[in-house]
Amino acid sequence: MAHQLLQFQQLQSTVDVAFWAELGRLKLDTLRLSEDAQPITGFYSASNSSDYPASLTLDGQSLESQAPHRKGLHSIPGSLLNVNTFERFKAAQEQASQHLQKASQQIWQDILSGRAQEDPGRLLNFLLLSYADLKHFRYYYWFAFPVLKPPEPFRCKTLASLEEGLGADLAASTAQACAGWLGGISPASASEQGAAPVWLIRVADTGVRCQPLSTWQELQGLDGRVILGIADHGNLPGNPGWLLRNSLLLAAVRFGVTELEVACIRLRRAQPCVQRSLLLSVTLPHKSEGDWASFMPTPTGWELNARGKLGPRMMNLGPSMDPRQLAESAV
Amino acid sequence: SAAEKVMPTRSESGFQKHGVLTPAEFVTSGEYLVKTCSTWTWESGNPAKAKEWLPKDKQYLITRKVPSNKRASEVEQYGERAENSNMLEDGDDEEGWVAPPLQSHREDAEEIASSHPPAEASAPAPARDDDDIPDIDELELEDAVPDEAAVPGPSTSAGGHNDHIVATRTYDLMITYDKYYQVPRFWLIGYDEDRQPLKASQILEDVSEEHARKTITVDPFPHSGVPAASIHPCKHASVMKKLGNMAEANGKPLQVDSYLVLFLKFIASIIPTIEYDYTMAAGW
Repeated sequence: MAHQLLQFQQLQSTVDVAFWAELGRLKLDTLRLSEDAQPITGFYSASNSSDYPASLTLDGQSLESQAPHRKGLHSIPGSLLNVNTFERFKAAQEQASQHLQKASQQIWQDILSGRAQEDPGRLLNFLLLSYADLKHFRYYYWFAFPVLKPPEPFRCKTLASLEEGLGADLAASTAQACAGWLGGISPASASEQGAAPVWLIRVADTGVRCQPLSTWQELQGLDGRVILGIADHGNLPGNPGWLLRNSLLLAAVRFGVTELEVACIRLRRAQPCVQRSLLLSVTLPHKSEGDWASFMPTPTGWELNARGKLGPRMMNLGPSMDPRQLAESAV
Repeated sequence: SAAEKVMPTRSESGFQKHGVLTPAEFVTSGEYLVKTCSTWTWESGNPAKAKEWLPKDKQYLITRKVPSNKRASEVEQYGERAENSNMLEDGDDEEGWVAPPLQSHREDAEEIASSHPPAEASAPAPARDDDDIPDIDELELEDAVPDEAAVPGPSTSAGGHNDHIVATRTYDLMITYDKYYQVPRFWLIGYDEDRQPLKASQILEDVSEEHARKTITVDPFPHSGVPAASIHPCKHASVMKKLGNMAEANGKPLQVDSYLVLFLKFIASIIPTIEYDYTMAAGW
């Protein structure tokens, strides 16, 4: 019997006012007319509410060359393409598929080479196209969260809450191990970038432990069961979040397995929650190593606008930043 | 502020006697808050704007993207709550503070439709003197290859999966140390359902009526310069002292650790609709 097609909840962006204020300053002082791509850093955490998904956020620190690590947040590398005029923005937007192709190509190379397995943040590499209308304090922007479509869709064999899927005791110890990983308390996850957003959970007689993605190969041949853990931004009870897609492709390519257990870790009061986290059993497409190397995945991933269409958004900071408008609203 | 530059920092503990904190006590109390209520974290902010009397990596506390799906005027329980809870009488002044109940009603809070027009209608308001502002809706592309592995969005699934996702206002909440008043200072930056920053007048809709016009001001947030709404700290010390006295009368004298936990309970009475986690286990 064919298993159900696995559908993923799209990632959303949120941009703090401080990011645009900082970009405006950088544009005037440093970038000037340069349209070169700038490295930026986005942040997200696992969703902390059953009502709302978590989002990828840019803030005042996102433009810093060494964005500081913040507790509880995962740093995601991204690329900012800021253009000088609205016409250039429109032109860049018309080339959206080329931009996406380029960004996703990088992710594909990182999956094939094993680099993404060492540094899973690379799986989520995002793109931001923007035009800062500094005269009117309007910021036009469009995010892409590139994902690579597998040769065959991922299918879901079973889906349950972590508690149902593992049983109460095992779920509790898994949640505890994941809390240690996410909090950077587990020595394996403590790094300068903070805890990786994708990791492995090893369930053995000796207990539950979280380990970096790069240890998959070592764990083969050891006893116990290995589950892929991911900090899940989604909040839907029946769908994992967007960012799992590239991780599953990595598992298909690098681990060479056709079936994988995945724990989508979601939070409640900033702690992993066994009722809200999901446990899935997913079937993955299979190819030989050589076939993967010659495979060209199709990318997708531009964010939808408020009308649910493929298109940019605009943030109007006039009311809060424009001295003229501020002067008028002040009584 | 100018005064902050020349004033000495408070070095003598005074939270029990005067309701004020030293910077070191602010850090101690912040550590306790972060430990017991992990949605709050320390932030370093813009290094160029760091205050020298606080550690570089502990300049202020933040909790991000806190939902608020109702306006203060819609919260029916508010009046009831004010009656049932302890009114803190402030002898010679009409400003009595209301202590919030220890249990929140968030579990049974109903989702109420936003008072704002739906996203489609909230396109940027036309600027009065600028005719050259381009229409962003022209810039939509057709998706050549539909993505079957994406959960359909609200536009493509009439009555579909995403209906239960409530578009909501969100707030970033910050606590800084105010050197002049020697107390914590509370800041809010809000975003609407369409991710646009909220204007001061909109933020006031989330502030309880009795405080909206009196205690909220808009000032540049000290660590980024971005305008933010703030609860003016001039009364904080006296309120904290009263809450401390109440706690003492209940046989649990205020410890410096719990100062910020108590402070947040007091803030909750001012912003009743923002569901940040003040009901955590940390008692006082």
